[in-house]
Amino acid sequence: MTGARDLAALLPLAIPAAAACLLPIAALDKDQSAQKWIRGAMFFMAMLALLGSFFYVTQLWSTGHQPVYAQLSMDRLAQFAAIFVLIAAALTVLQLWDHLHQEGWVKGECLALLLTSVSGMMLFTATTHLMLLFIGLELFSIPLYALTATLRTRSEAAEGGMKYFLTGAVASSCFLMGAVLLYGVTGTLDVSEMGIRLSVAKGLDPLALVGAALLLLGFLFKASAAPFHQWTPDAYEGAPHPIAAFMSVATKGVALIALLRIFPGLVAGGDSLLGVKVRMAIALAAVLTMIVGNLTALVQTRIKRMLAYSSISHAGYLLLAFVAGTPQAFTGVLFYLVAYLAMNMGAFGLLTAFGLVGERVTFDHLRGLGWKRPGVSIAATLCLLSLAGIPPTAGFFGKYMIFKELVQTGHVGLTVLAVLASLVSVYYYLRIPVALWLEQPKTSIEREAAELPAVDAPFAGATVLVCGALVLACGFLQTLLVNGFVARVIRDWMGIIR
Amino acid sequence: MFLIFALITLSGALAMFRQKNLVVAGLCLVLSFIGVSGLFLMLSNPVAAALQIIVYSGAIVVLVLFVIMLLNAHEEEPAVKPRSIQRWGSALVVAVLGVGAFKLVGSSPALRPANVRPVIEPMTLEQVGNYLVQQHLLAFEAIGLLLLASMVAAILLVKRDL
Repeated sequence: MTGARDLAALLPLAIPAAAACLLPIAALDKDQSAQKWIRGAMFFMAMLALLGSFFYVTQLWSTGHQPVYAQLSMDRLAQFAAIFVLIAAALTVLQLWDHLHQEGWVKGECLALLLTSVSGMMLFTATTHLMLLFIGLELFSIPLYALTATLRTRSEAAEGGMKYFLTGAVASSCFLMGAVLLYGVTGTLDVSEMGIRLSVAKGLDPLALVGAALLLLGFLFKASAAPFHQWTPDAYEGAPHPIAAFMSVATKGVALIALLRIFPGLVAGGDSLLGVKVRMAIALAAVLTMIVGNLTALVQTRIKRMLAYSSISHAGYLLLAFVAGTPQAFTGVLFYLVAYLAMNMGAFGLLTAFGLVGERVTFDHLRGLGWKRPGVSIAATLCLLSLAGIPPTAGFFGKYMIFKELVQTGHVGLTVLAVLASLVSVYYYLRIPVALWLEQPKTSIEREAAELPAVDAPFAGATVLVCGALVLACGFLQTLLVNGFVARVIRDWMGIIR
Repeated sequence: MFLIFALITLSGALAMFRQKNLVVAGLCLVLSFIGVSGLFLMLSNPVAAALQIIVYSGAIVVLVLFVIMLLNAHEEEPAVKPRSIQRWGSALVVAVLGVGAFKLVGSSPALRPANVRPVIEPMTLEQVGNYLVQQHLLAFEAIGLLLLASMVAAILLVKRDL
């Protein structure tokens, strides 16, 4: 049990964690709200930690080294997840700089929490040990609960944070209860070992079934899949825009990657009774998620609530890959997550780049802004087209890869439903570009905007441009990306299991 | 023996919920914790039982009671008129869940009582230490980070002039 102790596996987690310990000390300074250089230094430190960890992980990737430390294994899948989370966090930090200045509440503690959350996410995706999985889950969720409520002067922030915290606590305790039941039935905390023991046992133990269901509930909650999605719109609306983007991208991503990691153990070979039931539950959740997410998004007037429901519906498409359960489908999940990272960070970044804070995040406030900042608007439009799944963009190929596998494994009905759902989504995604380019600004809003200082958000604008470029790049170079990067993850990881 | 401790735990928890006076509710919580520590003793784990009493019944509840008294909120809350449909609904849900849990445990083949009673050595403090820093070192460190993060989070959320 305590075999390999390669510290190289710990370093990617330790760098953000160390920075997270140092940042509150920098934030102790009374002048952090007065002195710009202190704030700059804090953001620089956070970026430095993220970049350091990023370069270390990419180096691990290029040398093919897969270190193991006790129950933590930094294999290809974990490295992929780490890169994914680090990029999302770096974009978030850049957008936070602009957004927090717009809100007038720049606090270094936020960055410390964000970095702890990053460490927790890496831990969560790099282990099959249930106890570490739970600690990782808490390590990334507890900072996020606080980050949601960070703009504490606003009542929605407190409300969103509280709702997220309470529902999250219930989901965490369900996860823990599931882990305990599975441990009680199998006598091991390691999920891959558990899968072997469950497949050997004759018949289906109802306790194992309940345990697996409760465990699954924890993952579905974090991925904001229906029927555990109710916290999402309130939490996103209360949170600062970049944090909402980080929650939607990184939390959903790591929940699905971790589910992917323990999935073979959970379904116990795939043909067992438990496996069939788990798949059925996932299929049901996916269908519900797509329907609820897309239909509710149609009637939203606030952009962030719309994006929240859209993020719910994307969880549905991603879950469909688990129903198919083939290596190609899992490749599709990872590719789709990369695309989703770019397009959702871009869509939320648009709000920050235009300085829409507080109450001013309705579609009306976006009207006619496209002609004022064409570069950012074009990039954001690309991101939204990609979210809707329009062909030359990354989002289309992600959906295509998942749906193709779904048809090939014989789930035609589910595929038709998914395609219909994504057709519905085109309507609400296009409302943003239409408002940006085609509609005239309302005079009352224009007058209001003229009184406010001009919006200056260089970093957020840059991140939106990067996201737009990434969406196009993933679209055009998708075979390159899939073969060189994503498929390798799945191949290496499947090799470990078999 | 098990039933006695289980009943103490459950009745403490129930009484805590039924109690309108916050201080008395806190004391009911202590009762529940003592029941739990009794359950730990039956699992031949005196270390966990002692920790349960020292940490939970001792430190945490005292802290909670202090907070309640400092906030001066121990007056009775104005009674909200309970809706009977909620009450009956929750009673029904609890009953269904309870019966379900009993059936579940009863029908599980993994939990059949074994014919031979295994002899379990009582846990010692030394063993606990060994487990913590050998098998679960990583989890131990991660929990340290988690505690730090929750403290930072609490300060971020409530400090008056941050």
